[in-house]
Amino acid sequence: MKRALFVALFAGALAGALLFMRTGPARPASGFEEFTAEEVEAILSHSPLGPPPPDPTNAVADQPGAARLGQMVFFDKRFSREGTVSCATCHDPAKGFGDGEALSTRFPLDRNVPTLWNTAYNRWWFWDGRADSAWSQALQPLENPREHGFRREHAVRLVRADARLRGAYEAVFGPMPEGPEADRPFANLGKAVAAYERKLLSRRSAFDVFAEGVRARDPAKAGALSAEARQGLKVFLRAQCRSCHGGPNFTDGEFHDLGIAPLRGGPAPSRHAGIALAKADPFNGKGAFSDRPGAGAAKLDFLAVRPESWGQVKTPTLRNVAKTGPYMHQGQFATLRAVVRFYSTMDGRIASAGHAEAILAPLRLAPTEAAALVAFLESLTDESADAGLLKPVE
Amino acid sequence: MRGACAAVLALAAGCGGSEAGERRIASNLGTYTVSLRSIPHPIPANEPFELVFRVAPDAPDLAVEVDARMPQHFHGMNRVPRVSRRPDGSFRAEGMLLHMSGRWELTIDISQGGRTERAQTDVELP
Ligand code: HEC
Ligand code: HEC
Repeated sequence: MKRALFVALFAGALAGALLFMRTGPARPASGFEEFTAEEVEAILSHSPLGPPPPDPTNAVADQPGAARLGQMVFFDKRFSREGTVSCATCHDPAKGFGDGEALSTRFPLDRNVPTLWNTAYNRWWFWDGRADSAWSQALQPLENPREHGFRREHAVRLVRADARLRGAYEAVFGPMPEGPEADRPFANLGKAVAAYERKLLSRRSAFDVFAEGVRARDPAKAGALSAEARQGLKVFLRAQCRSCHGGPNFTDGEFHDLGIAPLRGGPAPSRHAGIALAKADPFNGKGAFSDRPGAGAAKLDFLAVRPESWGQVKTPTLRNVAKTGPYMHQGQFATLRAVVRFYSTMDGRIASAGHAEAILAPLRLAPTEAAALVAFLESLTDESADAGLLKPVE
Repeated sequence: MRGACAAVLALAAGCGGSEAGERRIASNLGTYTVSLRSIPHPIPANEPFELVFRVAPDAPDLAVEVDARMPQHFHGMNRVPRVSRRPDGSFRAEGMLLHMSGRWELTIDISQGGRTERAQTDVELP
């Protein structure tokens, strides 16, 4: 008896619920009904992007004073042989922190200038990962004869002689040494630049608003992504782009060889050589200038140089990707459309010297799907950056 | 995917095993049983972790190697883990990192007197 009553009540409630759903106001296109539970789980794994991971080898990584000094150095052309080159010469904030070229026409470089957006999330720096921290990375272009062509002694002398730089330096690191020792203060300049780079974050894109909407089942927010971009997101998930461009920064931070033909020079060993270079760098995380050599060692000691490392380059982030063309390690593709065409057809793919990525098969996308995938990639742009970070310190 | 404790021995999803997060696997010829857990648990995607395990029957001269590969991609980790004995006699594999989402095969090769057996389990990363 009781049970029958319960069933009847339940059935009534159910009917009421159904009725309510039928007669409720027409829902706006909310953007999440079209995704399966599995797709929703995958979507949420890409957002939100938290703060950059700590760098225990850099004690000043999160000090505002260090970031300010780093920003001064970043835009200062005096840190170069002829006083004509700053980091911003090649990493131009107006060009997605790149130079807008496939390969530089001004400098004899054989790799595309990567973006600095979200560089603080890297595990390895450079296309071949030959630097194990942002601060050791920053020291290399300063002394590279094909870039700044400067010397550490001159960099230290410049800071010592310039009241503004010196004041900013001493506020963070204490008294500037007067002796000839240049390595320590030089390393400190790298740590300051790295502190600045930790502020170059791209994490509030239309996609992130959409993901918030999906999580909270809030149709207004989920509407932040256009229908075309949502279709592109489906393609992105189906195509398994996320097996390499995974996680909230859309990269595994590791190395792969897509078989894209070189624009200049022959195939390069890339990661295969980069591992030995990272281990040999006197400014690496386990060296004398690291603020926690144990943490640096944990990262470097287990690295494997395998035959398949040959030719591998680092997976770039896809955040802000619409701003960072040309694409790939030698700028082989001028537009996102060209990138998507490559993944779709694999035309011109060369045999890998090391290890062909087995999961890469031509996607054979229909034109509408290819356009949708581009629209999705464009939805990863964040326009909310603090303008004060994109120019020299006032 | 997550929470499904079916065919895939989901170390990553953290199901099965006697203790929290512990997983038992037999070697291919059945000589050994390996009881292992990960630190942290479950195995995180694209973050360093360690494996701690015991081998039964144990012997002082067992040689143990740990590796992980992705069968669909024909490649493994970008690292070579180091296996050592802990004071309590268990083994510890340091330096593990599974950088891609998907199915990984975790292998533990146990050798004694020139004979090697393999204990293998799958890890599914979301
Ligand atoms: C002459 C042009 C040029 C200048 C000047 C220059 N860079 Fe670069 N930068 C590049 C190129 C090219 C690469 C990639 C090189 C490679 O991977 O081998 C690069 C790579 C990087 C990376 C690695 C990004 C990643 O995701 O791996 C960072 C960070 C960086 N530069 C910061 C700086 C800083 C800081 C300065 C100033 C101290 C600087 N660069 C000066 C051209 C330049
Ligand atoms: C096997 C790993 C892997 C997969 C799968 C993969 N990518 Fe990539 N992606 C990379 C690597 C590595 C590069 C850099 C390649 C190079 O420079 O030679 C890259 C480069 C890119 C770039 C250029 C970024 C830049 O700043 O230069 C875009 C855009 C991109 N991928 C989108 C996608 C999309 C969309 C998919 C799915 C259709 C996808 N990727 C699948 C590894 C992968």
